[in-house]
Formats: sequence, structure tokens, C-alpha cells
Amino acid sequence: MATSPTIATQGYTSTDPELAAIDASVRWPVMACFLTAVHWMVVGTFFLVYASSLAHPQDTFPILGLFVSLSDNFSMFTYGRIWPAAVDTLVYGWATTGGLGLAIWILARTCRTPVRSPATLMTAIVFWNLGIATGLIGIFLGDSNSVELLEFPAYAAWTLWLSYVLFAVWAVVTWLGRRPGHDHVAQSWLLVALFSFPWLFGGGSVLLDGKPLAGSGVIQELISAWYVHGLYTLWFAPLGLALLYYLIPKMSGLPIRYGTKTQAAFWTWIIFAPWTAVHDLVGGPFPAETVTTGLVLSGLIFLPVALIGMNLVGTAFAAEEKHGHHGGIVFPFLTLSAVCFVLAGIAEQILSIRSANELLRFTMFRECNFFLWLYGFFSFGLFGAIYYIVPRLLDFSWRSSALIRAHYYFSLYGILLVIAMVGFGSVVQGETLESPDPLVTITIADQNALNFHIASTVCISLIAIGSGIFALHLGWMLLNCINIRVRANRLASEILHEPYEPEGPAGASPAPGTAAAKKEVAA
Amino acid sequence: MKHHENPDLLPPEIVHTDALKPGAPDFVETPDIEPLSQDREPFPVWLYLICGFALFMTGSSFTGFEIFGQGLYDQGPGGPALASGSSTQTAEVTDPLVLGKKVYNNNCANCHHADGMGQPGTYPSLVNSPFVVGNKDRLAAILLQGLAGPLTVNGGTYGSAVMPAWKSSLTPDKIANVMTYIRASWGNKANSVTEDEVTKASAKFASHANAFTQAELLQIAPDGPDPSDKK
Repeated sequence: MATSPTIATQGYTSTDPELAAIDASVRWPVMACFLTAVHWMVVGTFFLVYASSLAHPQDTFPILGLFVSLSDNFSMFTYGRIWPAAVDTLVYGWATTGGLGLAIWILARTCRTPVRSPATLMTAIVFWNLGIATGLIGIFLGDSNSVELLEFPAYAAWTLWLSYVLFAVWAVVTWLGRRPGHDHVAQSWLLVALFSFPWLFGGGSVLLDGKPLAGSGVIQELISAWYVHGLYTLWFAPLGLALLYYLIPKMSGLPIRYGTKTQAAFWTWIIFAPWTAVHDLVGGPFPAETVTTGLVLSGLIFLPVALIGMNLVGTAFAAEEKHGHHGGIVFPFLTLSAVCFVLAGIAEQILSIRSANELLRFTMFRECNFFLWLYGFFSFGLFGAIYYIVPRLLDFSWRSSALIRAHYYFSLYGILLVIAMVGFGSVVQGETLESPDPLVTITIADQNALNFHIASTVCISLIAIGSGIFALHLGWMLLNCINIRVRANRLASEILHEPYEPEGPAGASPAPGTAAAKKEVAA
Repeated sequence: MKHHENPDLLPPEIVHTDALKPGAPDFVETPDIEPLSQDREPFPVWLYLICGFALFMTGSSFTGFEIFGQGLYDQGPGGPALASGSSTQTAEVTDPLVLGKKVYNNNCANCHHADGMGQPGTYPSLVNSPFVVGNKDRLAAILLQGLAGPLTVNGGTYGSAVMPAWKSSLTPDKIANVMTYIRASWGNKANSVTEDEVTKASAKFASHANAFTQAELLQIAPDGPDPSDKK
């Protein structure tokens, strides 16, 4: 659907004509990414609430008894399949697909090059989504791998990998063809992410599933930790940071504070952050020197976290001071995302202390970490970005500021409460587990932390409500947009086919004709 | 008047009072100015204090070790060559159940979970499993040399189950302790296992290069309690 001839612009496209042209060229690929991502988010969030409700007694919430009875009667609906389905849908379906859309938009804009072959991108996106759907079906049929975040069976995993490569080729071509003088700090973060993902995903799939190293479950544990933490630190973190580094100055009109430190932040992050993989290995059958070196190196992520925090949170707070907290409705999402990045960094820092790690490693704390990375940092950034980008692509407005604000407050209180509940709960659980009494098992530790589990389900539901509001709002906006475009096109064609009346006054002649046309359309 | 300026032409939906307006602060698009501030602003003092504290805590991971070496595994407090400080703490604990639980939580709980229930379809439950409460040699064989699926335990099938071999990463006394622990936990009531028995089993199965299959395990001994188990 091209821009309609009668309604040239509603004023939502970029004020810079060149950027507006670039936005128009990426409209279809980016919208396809965002829409499928939001669809997977709805599906994944439902699975997540479902899985979370199976983790505590069914009489807590009567309605959840339905889930429990499904789970008792069909192997397809058991926790062992629902949980990986939820996590994989959110990680690959929602966050990664949305991240790809974001990468297309930021890369095309910062390189100042319109997309050359949107068909390649669309093919990649279609196959990417087919891969996720196949993978989910595979998980529910019991085909899954028992490897964290690589549960998709091989046939789905390779579909994903190949369609990603198709996408990455486009990305590299765009970056190589960038207009000289248009380097942006967001580009370096994007490139790290775009190069890391195929390396991680391909390497993880081969070494853990396709051709496991023979004879040793120990090495597999190591590779699994490398993969999971690599995905967080070298894929989601750089993508989310690219978004924040691009959008915060764009939306606030303020340059990034401490801008001279961004390079140091970038390199220290690349060097130290992937070492957080070692957090999963403490106390395991690994050489003590490996684990200790890893702990110390991963502990040094306070350097990039502090620098990036000063860059992004510093700028975001300065912007909120300048415009007032409600100066923006969308901007607070970016502030929240930047703050959650720092919190996630602090959580990793805590896990890099050996005694804290020993206390927390088999507790809810890992869940807390997952929420901070995937929801707190990445998703809220992505929500903000989608709110900002979609009107520019469709030249159409979000329907209601109140809904956006409701989404923000549900997300804000949901994530803060999840962190508090899961954080305290994991300490209670860890203290019980550390008890030297052999009769104290993880079941007792779980029971001690039960109330925290229930509370965290409630908080996850808050986030889920917020996400639901967002998805409905997006749907409403699209329906209105399509409706109006279709009507405008019909109107335009009727005006075009109207007989020319030279007698009437020059300026007023179309108006009566169009009013008549409108009545015809309505009738 | 142009077509698109005529309010009559606009369908009612587009004039939505609560809709975000083009001029809203969120839709401001700052031109691509230099996105990075070049001011040499000093960092606040509290940031240096926090970073100093973080550096101190990070370095604390080095404490507790006197030497590092290839053979030193990271087994936490009570491990083989940890510094005297942490080993004296646990030196008095000799109960195999306590020691076995520690080994279990560090090495086995990842898959079999701390309640021994495993994961349906992937990791067999240890609760009331004939392999756990049955013949000791057979259980030792699984722990020492590993196990390759497919496997059927108590009616549940585990197609791709793979149990790694532990003989190179756990000492015989640790294997004995963890065997004792899983044979006496979660309702299991089989007798304990000594280090000696594990050493003997280790010698017996040393020639077996690969992981055991279920058929090979059933050749070692059929289901049923261990001969030494008088109950």
C-alpha cells in the first residue's frame, strides 16, 4: 500500500526528508519484524504465566487449576515443555525478531542508505518466523533438546540460522555502503551484535546438539554457559545499547553525557562481559584457576556498567529534568530500560563474588537475572522504540496516550516488584539450601520461598497485562490505519473519475464533489 | 482548499482527542547532531567510591586458594586443596550424608534436581529407581563410566539421556558419599556405600571404555536389592 495520493502526510513522518525516505524504504521489513515480534510476545507471555503458575500449588489461584489439570493429563502441557516454550518464544520470537527490526531501522538510518533489496529482508523474516513456529511445535511434540535456550530441535535451529545469515548479509552490505562521515556510536554496538549472534547460535547448536564433544558432559556444561551468557551479553545487550545510544539523544535533544568515554565503555564491555558465563560454573568440576580467573574478569564489568550508566542514565535523567517526567510519554520507557541495564549489571557483579554466587546459584536469582535482561532492559527499550518508530513508518498516530501511560506503569511496577520479590526470595531459598542438615532438601527450600514465588507470578502478570495493552493498542492503531487508507484511496479514485466542471470557482470546485463522493462511500 | 485539509474528508477516527500529536515531545526528531557530548566533565566522587568497592569485592574471589594447578577442581569449601581456612571449617563433618549432599548439589542437581525427581523424558528420577536402590556395582558403573540412552526406568522412557562419566572428576570417596546420599534420600532406603567398594568397582570396570547401555547394566546384575543390603 503506497502512501495515498489524497492524504500526503499526517505529520508523523520524519521532519528530515532524507530520513523520511529511508523510513519509507524500510517500512515493510521493519513492520513485519515488529508485528511478528509482538505476536510472539503475546504467545510467550501466556506460556510464561502458565509455566509460572505450575510452580506453586494450584489452590493459590482457582483459575490456574485449569492449567494444572491440563498439565496433569497431557504431556504436551507439562512444565518441562511449557517453560522452554515460553522462554524460547520470548527470547527468539519476541526479543530477537524485534531486535532485528530495530537493527534494520537504526542501521539504515545511521548509514543514511535506503534499503536496496527489501525482498531479501522479507524472505529472511518469513523464514525466521517459520523457524520459530516449527521449533515451538517441535518442543510441544517432545522433540526438544535438553540444552538451555537451545531447546529448538535441529531442523528449526538451522532454519533460524540460515534465515539470519540472509539478514546479516543485507546488514553488512548496508554498513559497507554507508555514506562517509556518518559514523554513529550505535553502529559499533549493532555490528558486535550482528556478528556475535550467528557465531553463538551456530557454535552452540553444533557443539551442544549437532556434534557434541564426545565423552564429556563437563565440557557441555561449559559450552552451555558460554552460549547463554553470550546471548545476553553479546546479542541482547549490544542491540539494546545501540537502541538507547541512538534514541536517547534523538528524543531528548541532548548529546550523550560523558561522550568521550563511550569507546572505553564499548571495549571494556566486549572484553569483560562474556566472562559472566563463569557464574554458572562455580563449584563444578572445572579447574579452580579457570573459575577464579573468570570470576575476577567478570567482576570487572563494573567498569563498562558504570561508564554506560553514566552515559545513558545520566543523559536520560538530564532529559527528564529538562522536559519534566511527563514531558514525554514514550521517553520514560528508555529511562527505565537504561536503569534496568545498570541493575542487571549490578546483579552480575553480585554473582561474580564467590560467596554470594554459592548462596544464590540454585535459587530464583537466575530467574531474576533473566527478567532484568530480557524484560527490564531489552523489552522496555524495544517498547519505547516501537512507540517511536511505528508512527514514522505508517505516518499514523498512536490512538491513545492514556494506554501508553498505562502500559508504562504496569511495566514499571511489575518489573520493580519482580526484582524485589525474586531477589529476597532467592536469599531465603539460598540460606535454606546452605543448611548442613541432610534432611533439608530443595523442596523445603522451595516451600520456604513459596510466598515469593506466588508474589512473583502476580508481578509477572502485571507485566503481562501491560504487554497485552500494548498489543491491543498496536492492533487498534493498525486497523484504524488500514481502514482510513482504504477509504482515502477509494475517495481519491472517485475524485479522479469525476467529470471536470470548469464553470465553478477555482478553489472551491473539488469540495462539493468530494463531499458527494464521501456520501457515496458511506452509503 | 486542498483535499486533505478539508475536515469533511477525514473519517472520524483520525480526529482522536487522546491520540499522540505530531508535535508531542516524543515525536520530536533532533537532527543528526553530534550525538556524543565532548565536554570533559569529571565523574562524581561517589562513582569512584562504588567502583573501588566493586574492585575490592572482585579481588576477593582470589582468596581461599594457596596454589592453582591443573588437578585442582573448583569444588567450593571442603574441596581438595582449598586454603586451610575453609577446609578446617568443614573438617569435622564426616557424615557421608552431609558430604554426599554437597557433592550431589554441586554436580548432580543441575539435571536430576535437588529433589531427585529429574525431568520427565530427559533425566530419570532417582526416587525409587531400581538402578539407585539396587545393586551397588551397577550404580557405581553408571557413576564411574557414564550411561548412554535409551533407557527405561519405572515405566518412563528417556530416549536421549546421557549421563557423563565422573571417574576423572570425582574421587572414589566423593562417589561413595554421593551414592550413600542418593540411596538414603527422598524415601529411598538402601544401605550405604564405602570408598573401598567404589575403588573395587572402579578397577572392575576400568576396561570398559564407553558409557554403559541399559542392556550392559542388566548384565552386571539384575534388578533387586544389593546382596549386602539386609533389609
